[in-house]
Amino acid sequence: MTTPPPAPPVDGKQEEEDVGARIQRVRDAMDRAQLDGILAFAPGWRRENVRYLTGAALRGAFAFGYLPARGQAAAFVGNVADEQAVRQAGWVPDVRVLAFPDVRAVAARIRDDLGDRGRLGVAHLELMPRAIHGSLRDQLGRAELVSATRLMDMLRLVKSPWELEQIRRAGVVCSAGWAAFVAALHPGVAEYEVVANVEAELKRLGAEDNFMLFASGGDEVRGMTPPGARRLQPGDMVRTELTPQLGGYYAQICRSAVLGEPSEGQRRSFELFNEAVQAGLDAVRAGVTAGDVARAENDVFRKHGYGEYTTSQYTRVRGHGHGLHPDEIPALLEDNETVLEENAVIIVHPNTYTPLAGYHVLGDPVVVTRGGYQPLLTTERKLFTAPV
Amino acid sequence: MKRGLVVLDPAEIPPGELDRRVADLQGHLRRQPLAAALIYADVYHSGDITYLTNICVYWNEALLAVPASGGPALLSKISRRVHPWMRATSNLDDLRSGPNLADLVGQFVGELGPGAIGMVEMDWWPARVVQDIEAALPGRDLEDLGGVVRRRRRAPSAPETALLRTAARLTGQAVTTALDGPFTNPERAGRAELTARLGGAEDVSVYCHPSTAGADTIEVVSEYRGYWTSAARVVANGDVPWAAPMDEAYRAGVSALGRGVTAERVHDAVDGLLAPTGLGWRADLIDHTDLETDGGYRWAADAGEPLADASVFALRLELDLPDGSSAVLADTFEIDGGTARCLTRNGHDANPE
Repeated sequence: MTTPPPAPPVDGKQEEEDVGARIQRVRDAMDRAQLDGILAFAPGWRRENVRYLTGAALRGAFAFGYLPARGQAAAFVGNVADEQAVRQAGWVPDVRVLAFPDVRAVAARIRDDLGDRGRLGVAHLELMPRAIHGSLRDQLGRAELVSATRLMDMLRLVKSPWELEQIRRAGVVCSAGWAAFVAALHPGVAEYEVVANVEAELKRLGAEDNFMLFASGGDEVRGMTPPGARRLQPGDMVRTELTPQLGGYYAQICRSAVLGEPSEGQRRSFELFNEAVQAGLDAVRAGVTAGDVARAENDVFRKHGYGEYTTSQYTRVRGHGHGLHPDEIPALLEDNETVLEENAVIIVHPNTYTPLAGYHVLGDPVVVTRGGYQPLLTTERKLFTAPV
Repeated sequence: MKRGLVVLDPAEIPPGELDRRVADLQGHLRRQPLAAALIYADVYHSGDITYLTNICVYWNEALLAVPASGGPALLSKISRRVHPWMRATSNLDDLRSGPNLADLVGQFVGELGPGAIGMVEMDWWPARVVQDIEAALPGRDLEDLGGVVRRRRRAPSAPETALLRTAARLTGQAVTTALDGPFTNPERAGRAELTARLGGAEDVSVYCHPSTAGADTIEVVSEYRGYWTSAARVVANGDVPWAAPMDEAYRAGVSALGRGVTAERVHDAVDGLLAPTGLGWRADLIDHTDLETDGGYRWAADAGEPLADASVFALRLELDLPDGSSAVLADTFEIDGGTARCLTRNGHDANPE
């Protein structure tokens, strides 16, 4: 495996400054939304908001991060390992272990701050189990519980300089993961064996997790899934969306590689997708909408007669944000009017099916700047090949 | 994450096995009587749906709708483009996708006769999803079916026991490959991940961390064909005075295992050996059905349940160390003929005692 260049070191002082500024940003948003507190709820598969408030890498089934309009933040976790993780992060000194779904301690802390009334924003309220929601609701008296999911999504859309450093570090690992992917491609290798090698390399480089989709074969491929037992053959195009998480932050790459010499259709497909990625990137700058970027990508498909393949019948989105979650807002769709602000991080990926070579994936993550964008990866954008 | 091999192999899950599980649940529904059962899953907590269908909920949320008679349907937000893959790796024909789960439920239930709808482990469902379903099913009663599927999973069939043994052997191999050698913790994690994924694990969590300056803990929790097992070891690199009492306590915990044993009895066996250290500790028995959530979806009453014959579970001993770190020892066991057999150690050291 290729050893990637060393990732920039984590700057502790910058982190400390960032946490202070982050808490202030959340409080400013709470003020605008007339909230007296934010309670971030984390089920096992959506921990991004609690991580945003606590800095902790959690492993438990449930956790809360709590920030009142005034006063100290608190964290409530379901096991001792998570308590240790919050303490180790050092952002939130008040951390308590709960036996979920018993949330009396959470309610008591909120009542201390809000009294018997007040307005509490709950991030991922939509995912809160009945047992927890009912108990919390009963114990908070006349306090109003409203969803703060969108509020937190919008806050996390724009990254701080410290966050961008974390994503750049993840980007280094991401590029190394793609190199490991190409190195693992040989005729006869099973799909899941390719993924095993990539996952192992990512973990070796310190990745906490990895979101990854896979597909191999010819022009019959319509989408991507977890890997199967199919063995690679000469001429296959092998596609992946690879998204390692390092220090909490995800960076994504989308690439396709061919075993052996690419066919004419595969070459034409790459040219189409590469033009669309570049058109999307050329549209990126602070102040444009997610829809503007999606439209620029899709216009390339329309120009070449492949416009029908930009619809939901063939594809999901034309890119999206990422950060503490691998799939954040904004979804790059033509009807999405979300404005891209400076220091948002998005991946532009016009991944879809066309008859040229089947499902094709190609995309790069970038930081949105005033005048355009900054790339986050060093991996070349080309149709990769593997020897047969 | 669920990034490993997903297959439906008739050599592992014989034809008819999944249908038998569905029919068993349907028999329960008809005895209530209920028109259908709904099972909620997200990518973190999906074992019940996998048990009935072999479906891998690899992203987002999904519901399995099981009518009292007829074929089950998967209702999800996952793209229709992956339906062919889902059909190829499951016993399902009926796959329905849409942006709103409640709308899909409304459509499915609208095709059934009258009767109440059972919600499996309703208290763990997102409250908002339940509210949306209530709104989508005016006039239909919703009843909490509790852990009706999980209870069945806790008494594994012969093919399940075989898969659990294979899964545990793989987890044991994964943790072993990370032990020996001058490895950093990320390198240990990479080695464990490689072994597990090459062995066909679908999901793997590897936790490698320092346990004071003199030792490292390596813990692997992995899923093979929907079956979760775990193992953890401590590698001492220097003087670790807590290691010997922890090891002795763990062996005492293992010796206490057997049919009818509760977590409390294991606690008592361990307590006398660890109390003199003055360190905090926890000994837990986690049924294989609860390993995917680290035991986080259990109710307090679950903790008191005695081990039954054929049950497969993990014994996990965690020690809180003076510098704020922790150490973990764990293995997966099967109660076989009344006694506990370790599944995550090879041959001669099948039981750590």
